[in-house]
Order: sequence, then C-alpha cells, then structure tokens
Amino acid sequence: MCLAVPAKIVEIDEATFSASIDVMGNIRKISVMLTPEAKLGSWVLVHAGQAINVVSDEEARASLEIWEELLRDEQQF
Amino acid sequence: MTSNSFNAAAGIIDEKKYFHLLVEKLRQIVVRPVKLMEVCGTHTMAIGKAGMRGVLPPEVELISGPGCPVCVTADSDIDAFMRLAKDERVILATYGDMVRVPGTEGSLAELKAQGADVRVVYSALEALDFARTEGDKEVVFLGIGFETTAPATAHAIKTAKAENLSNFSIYNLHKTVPEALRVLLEDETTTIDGFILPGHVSVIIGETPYAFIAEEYGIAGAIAGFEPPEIMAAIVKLVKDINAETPVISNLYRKAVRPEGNVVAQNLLREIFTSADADWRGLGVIPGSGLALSKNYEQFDAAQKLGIEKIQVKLHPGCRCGEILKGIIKPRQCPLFAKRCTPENPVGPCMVSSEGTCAAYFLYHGGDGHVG
Repeated sequence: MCLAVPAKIVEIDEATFSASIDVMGNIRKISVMLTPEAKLGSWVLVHAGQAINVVSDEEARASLEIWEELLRDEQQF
Repeated sequence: MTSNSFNAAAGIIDEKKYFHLLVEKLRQIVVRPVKLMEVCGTHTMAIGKAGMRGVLPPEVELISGPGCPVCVTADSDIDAFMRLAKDERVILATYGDMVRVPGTEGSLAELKAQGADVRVVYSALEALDFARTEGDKEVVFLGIGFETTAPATAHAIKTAKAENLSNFSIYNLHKTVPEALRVLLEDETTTIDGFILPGHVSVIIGETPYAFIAEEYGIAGAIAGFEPPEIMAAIVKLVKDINAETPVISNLYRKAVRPEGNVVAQNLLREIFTSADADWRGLGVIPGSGLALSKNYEQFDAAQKLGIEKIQVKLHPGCRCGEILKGIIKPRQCPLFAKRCTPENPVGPCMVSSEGTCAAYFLYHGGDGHVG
C-alpha cells in the first residue's frame, strides 16, 4: 500500500496545487499540495493521488555514491 | 528492474550491474547468521518478485514485518466497517486492497454484490467527489495506511471542512510505524538483528523517528528504496554495521527521503490528527500508534457519526497471520497456508492483501511452501 511511483509533471496549476503526471504514457491528475516546490518537468513520487516528494538527478547520483562506498573493502570503508 | 524506475529513466544507474556487485560483496562480508526484518509489505513484494531470497548467502535471513496495513487491521475493525457498508445511508469508498478481506458475512466485494454501495477509489479526493454530487448519502472513506497514506486522508478531511461538506466522514484505521517497531524490539519471542526500514513512510517522517532503534536497543536500521539494488544495498549496509557492532540508522534512499522528511505533510497530519492508541493484528493495542481525528475535525469520524461500536470478534479461526506479522513463524508453518488459505480463497488478511506476507510467499516462493 505504501508504494509511491515516480512520475514527471507535464502540467501544473500552482494556484490550486493540481498537476497532471505522465505515468508510462497515461496522464493522471494529482495534488501537489504536499510538494510546493514541484514545478513543470519535476519528477515526483506519487502516492494515493498526492505527490509526496520531488526526486532529483543529484540525489539519485548520491545513491550511486553510497553503493560505490558499500562495495569498497572494509579497510577503506 | 521496473521500467518506470527514476534511476533508469534518468539514465543514471545500471541497476542490474550494481545488484550483482552488491550480492557479491554480501557473500564476502557475511560472518555470522543475521535476521533482518523488512518492515514494509511493499519491500516484501519487491524481494519476492526479484527472487532475492534465492541469491542471499544462507547466513542472511529476511523476515517480513507488520508493514502491510490490510494485514494489521484488527478483526474488530474489519467487523465494524462491514457493518458500515451494510448501512443503506452509506457509500463506502475504499482503496482496492480492502475489498476482499473476509468478514463474518463475506467481504466488501460480496456485500457489494448483494447491493451495498461499496466503491473502489484511487485517492481520498475521489471520495470527496461522491459527497459533493450525492448529497443524500453519507460518504464514508475507509482511511487505512501508514504515514505515507495518512496525508492524503488528511488533505481530504481538510478540504471537506473548507467546503462545509457535512456528508463526508472517514472510518479511521491509520497507524504509525515506529511505535510498532518498538513493540517488536521489546517482544522476547522475536529476534531481529537489523531493520530494512520502509522507504515511502520515511519520505514523510524522515530519519529521526527511528533513532531509538539504534540508540536504545543497539539495533541497526537502513531506510531503503524499492528497486532490487536499493534493497540489496540496505542489506549490505546492515551486515556491515552488525559486523562492526556500530548500529546506526542509515538513509540509503536519499533520492526520496530527506533527513527531516516532508515537513508540509507532517504539519498537515498534526493539524488533522492527534496521536492515539491503535489495535494491531498480532501486536495488540499499541499506545500512540494510531492517528485519531483532532478536536477540530472530530465531526468527520464515521464511527461516532453513525454510532458504530467496535465489538471483539474472532474472524479467522486457525489463521496465524498475527505470528507471521511479528516474524515469529514463516507462512509455510501455518497449517492453513496453501491448503485452505490461498490467494483465490484467503482465510486471513496476510493472504488477501497483494503485499501480505502469505500472498507474497504463495506467489513467489511456490504454493507448496517448500522455499523461503
């Protein structure tokens, strides 16, 4: 039940906190009330019709750095 | 790997490569048996789907926790919302996960077939639309889920109040995760060396609410995403922390989880709800693990509004879902599993929900229950 799906905002009305997202070709209406920083083109995590966070390239790259760190030898870790 | 993964879509990460490198690393570093609990039902499904148990070294055991909202719903609550659905004044709006949960007189799907007005919705805001257009009916939204889902319910309630919608209410089953983890840590019948912490609950609550796990109990925790390498990275990190005897709470899902969580959502939850006791299947009543409507919004409580009282009932004789939710037994140790209890004819909630531990084991580890 707690799975949120990443999706790109393709239309946004910041005044009413409503947006449209593209989920694998399907356009869906969502609320962006919980993510006031969301903009047109942002990637958001969507759960139960609400964007719950904005995800970024920068943070995804940080994940990669964590994995690289985990793969290093114990002495270097 | 799912095609809608942000990592893959952004072209940043070769997930398959990292998954295999992390498995290799895990094999090198594991020195003793460890039991790791994946708290979240969505993790349970992701682990099953990716066949992760099959590639883990034999020392690493994954046990499934109480993180499936349908599964932890108490019998008395199931019985209460079934009575609500039968009320002719009521339109019961629910997420799809709840419609097949068996009650004393059948599931919501069966009640619907007999004429009850049960409607599956994708979001709480859809239920509000029913209230706006069907003013002669009471629209009751089945508010279920952990911190990930509760803000959507809170948003609907706040909107209903702003619009003076007097025919909208919720039957409230919302629960919070950290308090349940404390109960598991206090329970002498459970052995947990580390927690794979729920990614999307953490998007809302952040890292701090888990600090007590490491600080008070000396147990490691890792917040994880839902792609196979993200879960495997959490397992590697936990084993490293266990080996080094340095229990900490790590955030391995930084692309989505900020240390402080989603503050807007937290403020909304604080406005609409107040902390309350909640009844969990298998874990009993846990103080402070529920979200009751706060004073300003209590008129949206369906149980109060429609006079629905909770009665202690036992709906699923023989079902051992409660012990499964605590990681004490595996599904195959329940005598009903894959015999009387299957996804087609579920006896208990752990088999009903698509993310229930029993459903995941049936689907991905074979209905004969010999694996896993």
